Amino acid sequence: MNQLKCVRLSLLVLAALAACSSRLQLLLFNNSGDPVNVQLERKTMLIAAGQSAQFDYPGPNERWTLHISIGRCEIEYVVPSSLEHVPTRPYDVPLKAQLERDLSIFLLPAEAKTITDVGSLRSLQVEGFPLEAKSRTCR
Amino acid sequence: MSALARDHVTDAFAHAANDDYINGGSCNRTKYSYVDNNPLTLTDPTGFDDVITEVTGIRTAGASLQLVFGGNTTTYTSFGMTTDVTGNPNFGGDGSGGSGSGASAASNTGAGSNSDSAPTPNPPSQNETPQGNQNPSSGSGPLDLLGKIWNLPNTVIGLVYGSIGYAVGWAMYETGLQAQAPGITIGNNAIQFTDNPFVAGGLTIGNVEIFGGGGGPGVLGGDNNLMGLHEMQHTFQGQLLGPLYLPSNLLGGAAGSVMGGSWHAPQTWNEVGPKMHPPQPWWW
Repeated sequence: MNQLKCVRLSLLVLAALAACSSRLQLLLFNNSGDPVNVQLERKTMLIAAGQSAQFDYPGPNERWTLHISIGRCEIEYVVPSSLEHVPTRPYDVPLKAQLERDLSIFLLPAEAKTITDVGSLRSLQVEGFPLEAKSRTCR
Repeated sequence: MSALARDHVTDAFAHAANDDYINGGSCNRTKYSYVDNNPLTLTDPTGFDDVITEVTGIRTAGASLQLVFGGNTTTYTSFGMTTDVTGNPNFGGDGSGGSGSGASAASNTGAGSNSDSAPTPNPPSQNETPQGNQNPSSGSGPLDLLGKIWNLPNTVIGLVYGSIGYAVGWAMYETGLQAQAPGITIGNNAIQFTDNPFVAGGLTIGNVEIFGGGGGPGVLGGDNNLMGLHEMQHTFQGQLLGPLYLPSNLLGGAAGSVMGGSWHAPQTWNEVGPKMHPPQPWWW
């Protein structure tokens, strides 16, 4: 048991020594006016109207696709696989975006803390933003 | 301008009308397209040649020299190491990276341009796999070999670390405690362990990169770079610093934590270059 602890501690020390990079996070503000469910790999995350939630930015395992559902509709977005032109921000700050009433998703500045008027953020929209729905299926 | 658009209905790529692909190249790549469909007179002994050969731009980035040809950028860094960087990630990891084929062309235009104009949105590649490996041509020079030998102590530690995680990860996968099976691949100037239960993100020890916790070579990291590309820069750092790499990380991380309040603060010198766009080993 002590050996196991020792191994675990050694691994943690090594991880600290070697430094970790972490997966990009997406903080999504819901300005759609309705509650939204974000479908992640193994769970569903509810974002109430006017609220936000943070989750892993979709990657190749998710085929760069973000799935959300609003009411009876399921909507898919294809997210950019490169964000090299998106302004840099502190490493620990997630990428921030906002779902609008027309279901487009706008990039927000790193300093955004609440729902933001996206009308003034046109110049920030690069790399395919604002995202438009790739598909929409309503039951 | 060369651009690709993706038809999500047919799930296929189509060239824009104004496509002026070099040599009149086409998306409709055939068996012999890599030699302009003339296999009797042209050869490609390395398998890395392509129809795109014309250098269209030269630029500097810190201590690196970048040659732009077609939509691709080749970065020549110090110590004789070179790294092929396409505008879009090469998810194939099969040596086809840097060829400007497939989805790469969409943002290759942006990558190969010095303008500040908004880039073309880049749809995901049809050929994407989770590997996200770049096609580094490092390993071809004697200095690179010396660097890898100098980095060998770190690499051994990395292999031990990665192997333990690989074994434990498989046990966890078999018992249902882990969703993804661990894997081992070669790419990004390293041996890559994926879905390692002892890593939350990505880390590099020597010429070994270890990913876990949802991270992977083809996944975007917090710096907006592919994690595999970011970690590859750390392998180059290790090839320069050798046994000093881990102490350098510790000191840099401590400096960042104390002065910047975070391990990834700007004061963490080993992280500055890898977080740049495009990522590079050092900030100068």
